[in-house]
Amino acid sequence: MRDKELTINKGSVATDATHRKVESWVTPAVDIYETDEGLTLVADLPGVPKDRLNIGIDKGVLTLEALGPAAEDEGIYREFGTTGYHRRFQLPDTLEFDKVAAEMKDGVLTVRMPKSAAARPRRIEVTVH
Amino acid sequence: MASWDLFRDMESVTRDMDHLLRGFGLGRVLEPSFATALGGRSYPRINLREDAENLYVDAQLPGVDAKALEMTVLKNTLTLAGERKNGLENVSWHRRERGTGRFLRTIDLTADIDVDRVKADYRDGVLTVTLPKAEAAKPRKIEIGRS
Repeated sequence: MRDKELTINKGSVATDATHRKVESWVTPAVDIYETDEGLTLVADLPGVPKDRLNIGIDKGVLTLEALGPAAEDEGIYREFGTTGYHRRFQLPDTLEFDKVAAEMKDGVLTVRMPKSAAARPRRIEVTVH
Repeated sequence: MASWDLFRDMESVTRDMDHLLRGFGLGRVLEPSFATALGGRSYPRINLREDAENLYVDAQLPGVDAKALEMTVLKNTLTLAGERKNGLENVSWHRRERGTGRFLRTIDLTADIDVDRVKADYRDGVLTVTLPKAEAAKPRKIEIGRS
């Protein structure tokens, strides 16, 4: 369902024809954390279905671009509109870009970026004589 | 060792400004734990709309366990309460903008609600609550008698 694997575009992200309708572009809040295996980026993208999300890596730049649902009518009171999300990051080149995987669940995007073997910490056994 | 500071945000200016302002003068203790990523606004953000039959509340709640969400309706107020968890340990953080913790928000509705028929639906991180208007609050067509 919605938590299926997403496709990471190689090359620049295609611009969407629906851009003109977007009222505001928002920088999504992200968490980035590191483990021995790699870096993980988590982004809040409420209202974005899987098929309206574009992720791309081009020349070491990760681009997130997504569209929220169209606002149905003016309504009585509004705190968010037809929102587009856009954010770009410069990635360190010690990551394996070909093995980047992303998944989307409940409006939260998780991008896992494994480190290349050379960048992983290695445990060195000390021989005691 | 590789420097992970290279992990730069290319449009970071506004967000970093927010951080500077938020951090100024106030200690961490005073920060509402869940509102940090939202600049101190009420959480969650909501839209309120209506048609002849119902009121609708849309709330942005990404990554929240919808089953653990507590919703109460009393006549013309809706209360949303819940928690967003982050169970990660033994990781080193480079950025933490997504808030975690407990939240509670009370929304004043513009009409009385038929509390028995309220429905809620969670999809793509957005909660939509359908609140049928009470009979007394619905618009009524008035017949004009002929004399």
